[in-house]
Amino acid sequence: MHAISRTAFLTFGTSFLVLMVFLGAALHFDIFPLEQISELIAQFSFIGYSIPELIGLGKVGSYRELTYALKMIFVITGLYVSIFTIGVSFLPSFRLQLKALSFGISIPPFVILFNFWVYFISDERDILREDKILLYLFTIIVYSFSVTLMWYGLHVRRKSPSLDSANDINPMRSHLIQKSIPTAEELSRDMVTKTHGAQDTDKEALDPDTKSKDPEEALGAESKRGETHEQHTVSDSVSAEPNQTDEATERTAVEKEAITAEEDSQEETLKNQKTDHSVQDLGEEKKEEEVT
Amino acid sequence: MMIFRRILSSILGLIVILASLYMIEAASYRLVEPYAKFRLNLSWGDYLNSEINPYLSKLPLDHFLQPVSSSPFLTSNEVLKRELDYSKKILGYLRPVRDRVANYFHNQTNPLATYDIRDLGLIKSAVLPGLFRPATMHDVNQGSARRIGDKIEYSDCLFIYLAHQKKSNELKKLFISLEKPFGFLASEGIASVLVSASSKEALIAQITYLQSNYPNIANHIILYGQSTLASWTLHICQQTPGIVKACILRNPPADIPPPSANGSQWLLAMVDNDYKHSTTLNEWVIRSRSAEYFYPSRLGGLIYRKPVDMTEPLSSVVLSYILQCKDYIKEAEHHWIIDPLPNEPAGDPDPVKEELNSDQDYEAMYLCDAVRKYRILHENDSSITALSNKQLILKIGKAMEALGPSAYAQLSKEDPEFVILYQSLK
Repeated sequence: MHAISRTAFLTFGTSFLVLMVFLGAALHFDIFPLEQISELIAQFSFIGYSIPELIGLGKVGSYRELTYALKMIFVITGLYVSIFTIGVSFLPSFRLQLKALSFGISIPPFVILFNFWVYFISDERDILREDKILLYLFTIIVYSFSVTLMWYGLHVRRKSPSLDSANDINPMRSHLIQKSIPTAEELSRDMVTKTHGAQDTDKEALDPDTKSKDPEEALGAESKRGETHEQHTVSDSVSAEPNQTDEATERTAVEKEAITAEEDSQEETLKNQKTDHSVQDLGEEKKEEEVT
Repeated sequence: MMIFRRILSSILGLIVILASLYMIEAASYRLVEPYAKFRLNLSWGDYLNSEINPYLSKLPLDHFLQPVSSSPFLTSNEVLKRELDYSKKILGYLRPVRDRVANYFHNQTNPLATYDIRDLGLIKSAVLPGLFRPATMHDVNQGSARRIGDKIEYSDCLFIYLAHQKKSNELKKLFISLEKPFGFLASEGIASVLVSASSKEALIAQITYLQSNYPNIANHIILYGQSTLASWTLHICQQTPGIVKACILRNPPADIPPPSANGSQWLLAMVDNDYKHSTTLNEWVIRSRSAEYFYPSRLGGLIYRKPVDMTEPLSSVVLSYILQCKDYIKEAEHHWIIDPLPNEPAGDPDPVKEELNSDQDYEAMYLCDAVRKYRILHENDSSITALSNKQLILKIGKAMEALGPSAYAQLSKEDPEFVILYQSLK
């Protein structure tokens, strides 16, 4: 894309420069009559102002002066466009080229608008209401166009901190980071031990099926589920901190003991609940007999 | 590279912001009338203020331009150039008003349709703004109203457009061309009238007649005249300072000496490109600007270059200046100070009547066709030759009234100037 834009800008700039030379020669040798164009331009007026006045050149007295002013405008515009586009073609990226182009386009309308307003403010002419509306519209359109382009051309994007750190990576630092990243085997081992211990207890408490069944059976079912859950959690746990496998194994041993202790306590509570239920049933039967 | 780009973008951004702020402020001042007036009031204060805003005066605003003073080191052309630059800048705040005038001229097709066009006694076809107010005790004492609270017609000012004595058809044509300016002035509360005068004496008589018979309409008079009529206007201002509140003159002649009092009237001289300037006009302008308050000291005397594309008999510059005069008169009516110059005859605050009483000075003033003919007829009568023109007018007038209304009407047709003079003396 950059190569294409570069070629396009360079081609446009050079061809415009060559065209300028040809047209300049044509004007010099009167092959191309500029007087007729100057007559046409002199007839055109916007809010009572001729084109030279609009550009900011002030009042032009005769056709000869107007022709000279037109030649000057033509030469300045042509040189500006061609040199600017050639300059833009040498910029390193397409985005920079676009920004420079938008900035370059925004400057002339803004300068023209400012010049016109300076001239208009010091002028004594009376302005009709319709002309005022036209003037407002003209100003708003040109001003917003030029300021928007200028803003785009000059705007420097602020970098976020994450992007900064990403861009600032150097080879030494990346090597260290690579060293600190755990292998897949280490991670899977770590996750197996983690999930096997922690998730069984949670599931047991939440799943209603396990309550009704025998606790040992429920534990078997949970271990099966845990295996399937492992597959999901491995991918998630990549972001977790590695290099803690030894600590994890130690932690799992302690957790296993805690789990067995909990299992025992749960069995006892289940037994107690059963005995409570049976006592309550007996009490209710006695009450029914007494009523009958 | 990044820092350089950031600095460049912030500098350019600052330039764009400053340029935008400048454009917005200047555009508002150029196009929005309330803002232009607000800025002027902020700079100059009220109409009866004699001190400027100390903070704003540090800014390079047009309001704080120093008026041109007479200097022996400057040629008259240099003074004229400076005066033209000064007036252009100091009247810059009136450009939105001028736009309003131009808009009115462009859109109005029948400008006098809603206004009353009536004869003010002997002065024909005055355009009245149709303003009414309840009468006060002062009006009752003056004889303008019978009771307090009666409706009285009034106007803020009376604008008189002077014309040479012409045929009625020509005057009608001139009146038609003045319909739009008169309509605009009427919409702003100013009565207007087209007055044709044969001499400066006749003009003074007409003004006196209007002021004595229609005080609620012709209390404050603004005169407009060009070339010879401008010289008559200057004569009136010189001889009777204070009778006219403002005069707007086009290409005024340079041979009339300045008035004997400072700040007696506002003066706007509209000059063409080929106008031959003299130091006398400059003195007129400086004396008109010699005032205590800030507004008359800046706007009281101005020389303005007539725009090339100005085709109307009354341009937007003239009308906007009239509006400014009216606003000032309304506010500072009772604070209008006429300062007589030392070592010169003092200007009377109400000098017209005294001047009229002195027969020798104003003998020529009462010379009209009827008096002239009467003197020719009674050339040999020593009792008639001994009488002054003023006494003759009174005598002839009384005789004609005694003969009956038809004779008086016939005389008024033959010599309207005589009737005006007689009415002013009666």
